[in-house]
Amino acid sequence: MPINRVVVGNHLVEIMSFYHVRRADITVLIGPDSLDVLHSVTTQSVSDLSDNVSIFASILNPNGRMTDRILIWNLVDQIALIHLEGCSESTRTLLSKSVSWKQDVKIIPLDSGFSSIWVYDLENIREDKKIIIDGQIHSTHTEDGVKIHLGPNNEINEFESNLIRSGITKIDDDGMQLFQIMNGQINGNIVRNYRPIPLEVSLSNDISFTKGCYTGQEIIARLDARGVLARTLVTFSSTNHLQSGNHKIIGGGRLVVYYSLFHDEKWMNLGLIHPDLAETGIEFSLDDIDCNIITKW
Amino acid sequence: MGLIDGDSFALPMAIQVDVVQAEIDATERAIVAMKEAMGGDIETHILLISVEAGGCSGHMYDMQIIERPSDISSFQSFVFDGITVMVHNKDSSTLNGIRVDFKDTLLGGGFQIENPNADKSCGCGQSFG
Repeated sequence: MPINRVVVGNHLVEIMSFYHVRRADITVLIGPDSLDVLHSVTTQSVSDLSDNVSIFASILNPNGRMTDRILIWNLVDQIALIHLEGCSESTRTLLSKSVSWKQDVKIIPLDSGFSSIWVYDLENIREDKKIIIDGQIHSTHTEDGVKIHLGPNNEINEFESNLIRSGITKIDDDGMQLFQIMNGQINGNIVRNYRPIPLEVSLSNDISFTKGCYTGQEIIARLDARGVLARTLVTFSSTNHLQSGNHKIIGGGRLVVYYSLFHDEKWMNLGLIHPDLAETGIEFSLDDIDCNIITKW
Repeated sequence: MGLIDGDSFALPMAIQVDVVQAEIDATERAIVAMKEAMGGDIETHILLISVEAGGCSGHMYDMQIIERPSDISSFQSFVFDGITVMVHNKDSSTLNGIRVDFKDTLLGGGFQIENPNADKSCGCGQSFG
């Protein structure tokens, strides 16, 4: 269960509603074969995705490493995709190369003119992922209490004004990064720079283990069959700032640090570590920096 | 109701198609196997080789014997001992330089495609990228 923690006026505030706006990385697919193309390149089984339903899926390279994570919206006559920040170009290129000459799919980038608002509200978790349409705004839920609204900029701007009027806080990039560290969530920057395997970063829900082949499936199937991962995602604290990248752990092993952010008199970090060291409370050291595992995701 | 309306359909599309004049080769064994597969339809049918998305490495081959298309403006044709093999322009860069072979083995036999453009393939050999 994720924890809503955001910084407001230098204070960590828990269990409240806040929102984040994303201004780009939207693609629309039009054509009767759109879901078939997505089915062949993503980790999810989407060829029969129901009308007006959304689902998350990862896009992998042949080595099983993520190049994007997309939220797929089946809008009946169109399929909308929201990509991770900065990951849309590679996915559009992949999609355009994946459309066979026999298939009818138009791939339309919507990097200007359309936006999405992500409202984090744990108190109103909904299980269904139905898409609700109000005017030109399309809305859906994720399983961890995030409500996502997608639409043209003018409508989204008006929607944002209503959120502000109703007392919902806008979170800035630092606040969003802290939220992601505290909740074990990866973003586009991590995917572009580190190409994680979805099973390592707690995204097994993105994967259908019964759908058959997709790019990278061979690696995922092998990892799943063995049931052992070399690394797993953790939130941990440290006594000093940690540079992003690889670190040697004193006593053996390696740590990959994605982010390090100062908060509440210590540094909070998100990274990958061997599962044997990933349990809550385990302490380890990197040169003169002491670390403590807070959460294994 | 979709996200964009009819007027927006004219927005620029993300399409990457490199069309080249492909060169395709076939072994004697493959030509014999093609003739057997096509039977007496050599004049009226063609062997169409296509690339489709799928498999562990991204792409898979598709081979079909179909009636000769009436409009061949989007296809490139190759003739091997009277048998016409076609590829679509969209697949021309991916299939350029392939060599079609045929292996008469019980396990993993049948038509095989050696593709110099493929730098990786999956364990089962059905997919390339």
